Amino acid sequence: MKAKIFIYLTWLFFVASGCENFLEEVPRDIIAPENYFQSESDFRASITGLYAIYKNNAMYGQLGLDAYYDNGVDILEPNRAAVFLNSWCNYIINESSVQEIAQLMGAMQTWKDCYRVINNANVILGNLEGKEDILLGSADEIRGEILFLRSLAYYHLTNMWGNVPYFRQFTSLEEISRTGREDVNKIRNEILIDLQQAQDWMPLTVPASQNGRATSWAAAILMVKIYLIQNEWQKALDKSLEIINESHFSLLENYDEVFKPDNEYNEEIIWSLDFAKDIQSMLEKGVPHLAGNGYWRPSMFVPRLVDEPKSSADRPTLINKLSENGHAFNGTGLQVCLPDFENKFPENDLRRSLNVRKFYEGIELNFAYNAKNWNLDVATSPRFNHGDNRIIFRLADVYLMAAEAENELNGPANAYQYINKVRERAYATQEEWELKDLTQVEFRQKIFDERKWELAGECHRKMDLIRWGLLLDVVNTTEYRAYDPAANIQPHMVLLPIGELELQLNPTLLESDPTNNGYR
Amino acid sequence: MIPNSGIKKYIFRTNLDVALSPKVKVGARLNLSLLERDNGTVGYGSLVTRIRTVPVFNDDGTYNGFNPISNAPQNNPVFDSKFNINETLTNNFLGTVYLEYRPTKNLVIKSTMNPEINNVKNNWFVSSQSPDRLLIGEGGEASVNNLSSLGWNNENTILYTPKIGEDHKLSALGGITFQKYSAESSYAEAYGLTTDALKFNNLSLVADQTRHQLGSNFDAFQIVSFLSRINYTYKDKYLVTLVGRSDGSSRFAPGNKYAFFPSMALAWNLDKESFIADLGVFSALKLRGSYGKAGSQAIDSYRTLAIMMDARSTYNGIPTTGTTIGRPANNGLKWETTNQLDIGLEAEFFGGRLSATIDYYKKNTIDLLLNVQIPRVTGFDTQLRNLGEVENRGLELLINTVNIIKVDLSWSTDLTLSANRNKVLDLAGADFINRVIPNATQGVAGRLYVGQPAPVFVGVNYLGTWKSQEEIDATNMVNQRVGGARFEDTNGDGVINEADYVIIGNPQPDFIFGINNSFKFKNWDFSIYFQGTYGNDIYNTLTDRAFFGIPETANYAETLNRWTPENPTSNIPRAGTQVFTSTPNNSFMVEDASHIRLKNVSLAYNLPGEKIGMNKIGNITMYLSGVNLALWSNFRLIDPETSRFGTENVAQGFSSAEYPAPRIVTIGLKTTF
Repeated sequence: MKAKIFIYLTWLFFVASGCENFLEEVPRDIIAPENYFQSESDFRASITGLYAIYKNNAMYGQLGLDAYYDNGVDILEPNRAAVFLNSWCNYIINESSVQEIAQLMGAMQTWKDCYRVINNANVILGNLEGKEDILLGSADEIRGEILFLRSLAYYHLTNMWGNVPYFRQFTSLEEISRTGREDVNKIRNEILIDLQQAQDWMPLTVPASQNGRATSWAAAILMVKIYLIQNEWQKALDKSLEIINESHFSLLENYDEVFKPDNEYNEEIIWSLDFAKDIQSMLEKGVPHLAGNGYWRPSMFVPRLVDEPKSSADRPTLINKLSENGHAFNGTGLQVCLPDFENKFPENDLRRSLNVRKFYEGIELNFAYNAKNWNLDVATSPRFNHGDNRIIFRLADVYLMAAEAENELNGPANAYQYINKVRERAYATQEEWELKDLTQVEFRQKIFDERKWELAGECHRKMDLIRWGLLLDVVNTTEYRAYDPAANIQPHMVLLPIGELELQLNPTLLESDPTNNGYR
Repeated sequence: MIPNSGIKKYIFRTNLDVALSPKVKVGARLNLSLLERDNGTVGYGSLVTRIRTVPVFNDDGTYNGFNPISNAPQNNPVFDSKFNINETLTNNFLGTVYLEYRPTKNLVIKSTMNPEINNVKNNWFVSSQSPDRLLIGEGGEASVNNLSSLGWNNENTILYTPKIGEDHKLSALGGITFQKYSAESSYAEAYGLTTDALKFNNLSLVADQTRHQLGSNFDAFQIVSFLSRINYTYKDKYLVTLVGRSDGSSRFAPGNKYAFFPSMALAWNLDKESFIADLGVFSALKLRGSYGKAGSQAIDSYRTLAIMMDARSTYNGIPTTGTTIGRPANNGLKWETTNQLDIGLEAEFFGGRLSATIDYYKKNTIDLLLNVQIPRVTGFDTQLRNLGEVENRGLELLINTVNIIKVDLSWSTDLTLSANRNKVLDLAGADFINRVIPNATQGVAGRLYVGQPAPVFVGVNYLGTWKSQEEIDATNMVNQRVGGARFEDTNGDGVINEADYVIIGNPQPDFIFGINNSFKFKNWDFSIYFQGTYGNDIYNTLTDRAFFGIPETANYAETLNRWTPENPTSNIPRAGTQVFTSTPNNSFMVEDASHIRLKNVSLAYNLPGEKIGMNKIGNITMYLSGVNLALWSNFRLIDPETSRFGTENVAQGFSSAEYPAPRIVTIGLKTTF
């Protein structure tokens, strides 16, 4: 009897000592980042993942960046109060409003996505070290693309917040969570070096099957934009001319052609993000179970039928015309032109119909729409499932930046050629498009407006106004429809505060600047 | 009523016990079941929000798939319920084999093995002829989803019950149990189907080849427990139970896999004491108490690890593989632990005609496994961590009375009443933790606050409508219209946002009750059972659309009495001019979830077999029973017990028009041989 108990206990003992093995967790359908990078295609896939983050709602995939760059300035606003645009348009900007999240957008959501790009980029770069031999092509080409994508994230972060936490290599979660802010000038100087590396390492063109990937020239134009912020006019001019003279890009003859959905990878586009109907392209869809690719941005520029047309007598005609053309007003109408933009846009400017669309087939509409960003076609570009690419950079911007830099350096004499090149296609006659005999100050004034007419709704405006020191003036003198931002805007609002929750979770962020960019 | 939602079930069962010798017994139980479930193809939410004036059929008799209000295609529920498929087929095998060995009179060694095998297949099909799809030239869709799982549970115990005199009873149990589960699943979906002939049965033949979706998954976990239990009874008056168990889970990282959970229980049968028995009041009286620790490992497998996740994207319109880091690792995850105290009193009076039990408990759960917010500079919102402390205290009362007991007629009543008080005690320094974001467009609505129940509903206060322009001008708020919804701007900054949030509701009921009456009259049995809750709130996410209104979906009937210039006192916002693209979470979305439900009614007639000359048959019972026959509640979406987030324990009380609990009527015949 006792022997039996003894045997049983001995058995228990052996079983027990086997338990550590029994409890071992052997995952089979997941892979941890540290074991992931085994071949070139793994690196390629992780870079594609960075593009997917850039296509998120808080970035380029919905109005995440538009809310910052083109709302609350002199271009766009929603046609009615919209939760995720109210504080931007009204300059009710504080530690709590920046952390609101609506439709996966909001400033701190943009912050999160930018750092998601940065932290992933650092993991990929770290894994690339010593793995050159497993690559078929050059490690530098991969490195260049990652450096560009990481620098773009810092570009947006420093535009919005100035000094921000700065990571150049893999950093543990704990350390990231207690890192303070780094000086914006240091960050900009270092990403300029990264971007030059990226320009040298990235390919000049990508095969058509890879359309939508950034090339060497995307790194170059981003450098120009940073040089302008730094007032480094000579460097900005040199780099612009490098793009104008050495790249294969050229301005299209007709402004309308630039935005045609059937020719998205045209000669003027330096970089656009690729979207395709039905195929998910962004990391996080706004509403995960909703059919379609979740790409909403064009829907924001498409009118709502309930808002239109101006005269209800025209309504049956409008509905008939829409259906005849295979069109629908089934969008949200949340990005329409400000009255100021609509009224000031020159009537004789051929770009007007794509930027300020007030009529549909001759029927007058209530609101003026930024038609270059919409697509009404029901079959090819359905609601919330658009296939339209998102233009990030194009050559016309480079010409205007060259003109600006040249004017700042040497006055207008040599700068006309660049600005007129852009204006040439914008007016019917030379008389209208040709600028001449301007002073440096007058030319500068022309640049202020020209960039607005040419590049409206392409996420450049607020940073332009900020670097010109004009944001407050413009907000104070612009005619808005429903909002009253002039009552609220303060000089420190050229930068955003870091959100309250982020500060609570990481108080180190307040060490270098206890005022949080002047908000406390 | 949704025409196609139902269940078919086939069950095969067998039991076997064999005594191999006086000391050895073996046995097996086998249970095979086949379940075919029709999940329904039309959501309750899509039905209640559908605008009634949108016709089912076009004038030419074809199905309509267009919503003229939104100027966009919309699904047709009548079509969907007729032609679409969403079904789940489950084959389940559940078995038990055991071996019992009694080497001596007071020693039992027992080993059991319980294997369970599941094969689950989900078939889903959307017709290519769906009117909304025809409008945009989109074909049908179909998917199949397979899961096969194997789990087993092995228990080995040794029970020792020595004889140590008349007054003492002792039993000691030692054991070890193992549990292992693994599941493999695969998934395939095809888009752009051009014909309905094949449905989900040949996914690639008529589909758009470029849009196939594939997936497969693997999941596994193991649990080990070492346990020991000692029961001691003295003179049947004093009872002591001591339990010690050490549980190990594969889900935690090495070093945190095991935790020790001891507990102790004491009971005192007071009715055995002469000073109680002498009172002559109680026919039974027992006082008991226990204190112990228990653990929960309720997280998914592999959650201590970071993972690479799918981040596909497109180049030149072509889908391309993409990956990104999906979540932060946390090697430190450990067992969530609950310390529980119970005190109870059981009493019986009048020879059992009246009995009552009252229990008090206090449970403190520490190291809760929660997704906790981390700085967004990490690129993530949350990380799964052990954090905080939540307390649950409560009273439970059970009263049973036998009102009538005669040869041909008996009537008894059971009454249960319970009240639980739930409170967050600690959140590791955080002011609050966001728990529930019911709608991506609206932000958080469920939060944990120290000192409050877990969770509470948060949002802004709804103050009715703006009655005049002067009222608006007196505030610094912009974009407001007379007749529009007015929310409380708590911090006065002119904007309604999360900074204005206050606590607007609590999903925990003040008390829960149930009452059951059973009658027996000759061969008839009848019972009727009511249950309900009082004082709990429910968060209705549909109110966003159906009250504050977007014009594309149906509104509550009460909005007929909305604000108009002719009806300027109404507190229902005016039509068509909603101020916000999406309404902030607000107090109007919270409704009273108190209710009474007629949960169960049954009527049975027992016919002894011999009475109808069938001596081999023991009893024939014919019965008719109904579940959920009636519900008294003010909740706009009918059933306040539906939950958007299932049974997740700190995310209760959210409804976005899930199907109400079904009313089930069963007619049956039961015989014993």
